[in-house]
Parts: sequence; structure tokens; C-alpha cells
Amino acid sequence: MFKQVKELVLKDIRLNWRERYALYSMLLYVLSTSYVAYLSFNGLISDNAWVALFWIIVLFAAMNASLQSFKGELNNQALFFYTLAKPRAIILAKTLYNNGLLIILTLISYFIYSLFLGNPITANLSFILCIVLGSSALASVLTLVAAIAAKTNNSSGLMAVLSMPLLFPLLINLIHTSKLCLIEDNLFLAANQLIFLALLNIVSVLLSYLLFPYLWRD
Amino acid sequence: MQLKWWKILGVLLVLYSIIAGLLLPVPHLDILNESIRNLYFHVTMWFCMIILMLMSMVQSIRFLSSFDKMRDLKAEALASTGMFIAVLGLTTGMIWAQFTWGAFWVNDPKLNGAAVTMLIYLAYFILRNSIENEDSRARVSAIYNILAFVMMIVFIGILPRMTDSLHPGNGGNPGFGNYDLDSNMRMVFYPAVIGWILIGTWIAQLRFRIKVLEIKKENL
Repeated sequence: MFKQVKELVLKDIRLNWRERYALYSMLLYVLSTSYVAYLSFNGLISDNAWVALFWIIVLFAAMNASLQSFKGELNNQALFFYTLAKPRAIILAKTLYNNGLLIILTLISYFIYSLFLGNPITANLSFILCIVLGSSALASVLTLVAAIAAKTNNSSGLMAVLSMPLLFPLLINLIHTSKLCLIEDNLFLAANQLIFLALLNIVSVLLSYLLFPYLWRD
Repeated sequence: MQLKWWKILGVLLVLYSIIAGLLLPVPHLDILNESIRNLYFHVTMWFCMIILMLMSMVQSIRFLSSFDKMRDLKAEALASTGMFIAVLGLTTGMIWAQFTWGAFWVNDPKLNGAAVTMLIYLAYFILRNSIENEDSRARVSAIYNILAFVMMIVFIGILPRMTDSLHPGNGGNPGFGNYDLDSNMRMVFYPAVIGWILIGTWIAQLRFRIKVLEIKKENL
């Protein structure tokens, strides 16, 4: 099982590295939206708007990124993969890969975004923790939703409709936590919220682990 | 056809809650005044909706373990009835809010919870309609239904507790925190909840039977 997960993650990394244009398009997405934000706010942005805009950009980048993850798997190559690996290994590998991808992507977005729009965050350690936990929770929920959306005819349209309401609690929590990070450097202040993020992550990984085997077989 | 006892019980309890809810004395609180009676109608709707959604999720789980199509139809009927009840809960809440808070909609964790819940289940119905193959429709929507219910519980159960709410009984508001002491209100509220849950289940059962008949008619 663990060996399969490891092999599948490596396969995903190799495959996506070979088709780098998808990765570049995600970066370009973040770059251009940050620049649009910079232009429309004229560089003057209130702290609350900074936080809200940052997470909205990350949310859409994450949605785009995870939409890619089941592009081929559930259609053409599906049969081939499922003869080789257990479905649970496949979903765990996808979730892990998306976790890594989104954490890196969000950190890069944070860098690009604060380059253009400044950085009002004072509690750096808490905020980095919030980014890591938040984007990994985003990845875990979005991976399962991407798998569900891939089963339909209109996957990119449904992806937004299906995942938006599910991500609401997460998003509100992230914005709330980030606002705490604006005030002062106190890890205990944000601790409750961070624990909530971690719990949400665990719940969604557990759900995908339990439900995915029913999803893939046709 | 025989009438089941629980249907009669449901009708009697709802009738009782309407009559007693409008006539029995209620505690007089600032701001709320007589509008406190909305508790019997508005809050019961949300209780009823959550129970119906829970039943819908249970049907979805049982569908995944048995692949019995009837379970999927039951899950859909229960979810759509729950949605209907949610619309009723939202309307009664909005009318009440207009008179108590002065606006139909305010930014409040519980209202956000209600909005998100309805968006989640609307997405569920859209998902159902966008898959043509019947087998995979039943399976995929069962999976989304389970996911949706868990996320809904996370949202309306955990998140509002982390922030303050405008709702009576939360934060600095006068209100339902005190009603716990008033046994008069309890005597109407709990029967009302049970009655509406029974009525909701009955509606869902009828919807399910209509659906089954429609499918039979198509296959003739």
C-alpha cells in the first residue's frame, strides 16, 4: 500500500514535470491576478481587503490546479491504472501530490502577492503555518471534489459549483486566522483556528479514503 | 390503504403546536416581545431539515453498501424535502428578522450556515442532473451527499460557536437563553419538532412513491 502510494506520487511528479506548461500556467495565473489586483487597488489596499483578496486568489488557483489532477485518470488511462494499484492508494497519492503542489503554489503566491501589494502580516510564523495547513486542507477537499466532477460531462463548470459551498467554512476560517495574524505575533491566539484547519484536513482525507473506492468503478 | 399511526401523530402534534404556540403564554422579553413565538415555527424547521438530511445521508450510505436503486431514490426524496423545509425555515427567519433586527438579511454565522447549506444541496441536485448514466449518477451523488452532510455539520455545528451571533441566546442578546427555564415554551417546542419531523418524513415518503410510480410508468 505505502509502496504503491509512493510510486504513484513519483509518477505524478514525473508526469507533471514532463508537461511543465500546466505548472507554468498556474504560476502565470497567480502572477497576473496579483498584478490586476495591484493595478485596481493602485497599491493602496486596506489590511482586511489584502487578506480577503489573497485567499480568493489562492482559492481559484487551487481550484484550477486540482481540476487537472483527474484529467486522464478517470477516463482513458483509468482501466490501466486500476489494474495496477488499489483505488485507495490512488486517492491517497493524488491527495498527497495535490497537498504538496498547493502548499508550494500558495507559498509562491504569497511571495508574488506581497511583492506587488505589500505585506501587512506581523505574525509571520502563524501565517506561514496558516498557509501550509490551509492550502493542504484546500487540496484534500478539492481532490475528492475533482474526482467527483471528473465523472460528469461538464467537469470544469461543476468543479466551482460543487467545491465553493464545501470550502466556505474553510475559507472563512482562513480569513479569520489571517486577520489574527495581522494584529500581533502570538501563536496561541491563532492556535484554535489552526487546530480547526488540521481537523478539517483529517476529516476530508478520511472521507476521500472511505468514499473513493465507490467512485472509480463503472 | 392503511393510515400509519405516526402520520396521525405528526398531524396532531403540528396542529397542537400551531394552536398552543399562538395561544399559550410566553415570557416577555425586550426586543423579542411576542415574536418569540416564531421559535415554534422557525427553529423547528431547521431541526427538521437536519434530521431529514441525516436520513438522506444514511440512505446514501446504505446505497453504497447495497447498490439498491431504491435507496438512492429515497435519498433524493429526503434531500429535496429537506431543501423545501429549509426554504420554509429561511422565509420564516427572514420575516422575523425584518421585524426584530430591521433587515431581511444580516451577516451572521447562522445565516451564513443556512445559505451555505442550501448552496451545497442545490449543487447536489445540479450534480444529479448533469450525469446521464443512471448507475454512475446514483453512485456519484451518493458520495457527494455524504461529503455534503459532513461539511454542513462542520459549518453549522462548529464554526458559529467560534464567533458571536446575533441570534437570541447567543452573545449579548436577550432571549432564548432564558427560554430553557420556561417549561411552557418547552411543552410546545419539543412536540412541534417531533411533529414536523414526522410530517417531513411523510412528504418524503410520498415523493419517493411518486418517483417509483413514474419510473414504472416509463418502463411500461
